[in-house]
Amino acid sequence: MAAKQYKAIGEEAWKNNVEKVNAELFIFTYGSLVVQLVKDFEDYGAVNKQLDKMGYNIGVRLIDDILARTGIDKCADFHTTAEVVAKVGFRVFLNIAPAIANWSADAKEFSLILEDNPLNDFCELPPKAVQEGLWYSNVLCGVIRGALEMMQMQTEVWFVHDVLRGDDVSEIRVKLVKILDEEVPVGDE
Amino acid sequence: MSNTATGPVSSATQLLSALSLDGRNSAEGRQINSSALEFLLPELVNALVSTTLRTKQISERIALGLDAQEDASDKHSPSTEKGQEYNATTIPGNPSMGSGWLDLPEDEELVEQVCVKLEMVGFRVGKRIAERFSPLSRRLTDTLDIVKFICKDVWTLLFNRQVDNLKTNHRGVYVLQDNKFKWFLRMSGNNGGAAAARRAQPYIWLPCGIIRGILDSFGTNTVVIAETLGLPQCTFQIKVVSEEQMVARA
Repeated sequence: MAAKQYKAIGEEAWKNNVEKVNAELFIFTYGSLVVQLVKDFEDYGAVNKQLDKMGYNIGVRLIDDILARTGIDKCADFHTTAEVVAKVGFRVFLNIAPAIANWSADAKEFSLILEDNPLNDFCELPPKAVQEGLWYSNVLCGVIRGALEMMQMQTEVWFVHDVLRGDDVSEIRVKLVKILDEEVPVGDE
Repeated sequence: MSNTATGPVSSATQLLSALSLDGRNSAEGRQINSSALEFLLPELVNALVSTTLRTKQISERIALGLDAQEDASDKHSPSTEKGQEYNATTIPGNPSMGSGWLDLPEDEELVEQVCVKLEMVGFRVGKRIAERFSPLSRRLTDTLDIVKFICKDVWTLLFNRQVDNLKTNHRGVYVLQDNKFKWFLRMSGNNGGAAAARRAQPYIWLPCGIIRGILDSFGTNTVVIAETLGLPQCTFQIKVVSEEQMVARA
């Protein structure tokens, strides 16, 4: 039931509360940025890291935007969090809703299956990038991590599969490390 | 995307027609939240600042010789340190830096290098925009046509509005004026107009590159510069560079 509710919230926000633009400018800009980072770093691992970092910075700001647009309350458990990330977060920004799958037994890890990742549009990775481990859409991991951290959830987020690398699906894994104490400034360790 | 042309016989021509059809049909195309790009842009600039800084530090270290490697990390010049903080742009627990829009490092040379990179990022975007959206129903026959295509079609696609004013001297200079340039609309600041304009500086280079990229893919060499008299107004000046001038330069 909850799942339906968040689906509706996400779709409602997308429909009525979002200024929509053509995705191409975003997609091309992102692609061009990745090209530039590859040139600058000459190391795909470093590019992954940089993309994740950028995503994190985006995530910590983006969460406010989502809360403001949807009026969602704090999530009661990690299952709800997964629902909100997939059905509200992704819907409101990219107009997609990844499927949630592969829950771990302790309910602290789940996967997001992206059937239709806009960032992948018009994109093809050179073999070298695949070999050396570029996760082209790694920014998404950072966004999820950053946004959840603002909600007092410390997580690890990483790509497991990516269609751009020849996998059948694109899969992002999200793992809850711990709930951060509200009293302590977030990230202050 | 090419799901219209499936099967093993999807030859290049089939794929091509599928692509162009796709281009036609998707006048609206895939849509996303316009905030997505607004979130990405500052990070794009920040990332390029930190990579440029990194490159610079590495080359400095090399110039100083290997022995200086440890020293180099110790004795940063003030501007370098500022740049280093850049790396950790948004400090967790400090979400009040809501805009993600930070001060640029004071090192002018560095800022210039960042701008060059941003222009190149834009240039590649422009090339791809031209490929994807160049009109199929009419032919663009001269530079003015292409510029008009940018002012109307491209601007509408990208910013949901047209350029406010287009002027030309009919001798290869075109001036586009956008009174509410979308990327500048939300750039507020408390340090007065000049500081805001300075911080906006890198963001201007991206669209400059885009415009140059589009013109380039139609075979027109140009130099595109932009200035703002006050945010969010923005004026782009396109200057056609002829072959001879190109040769003369080189």
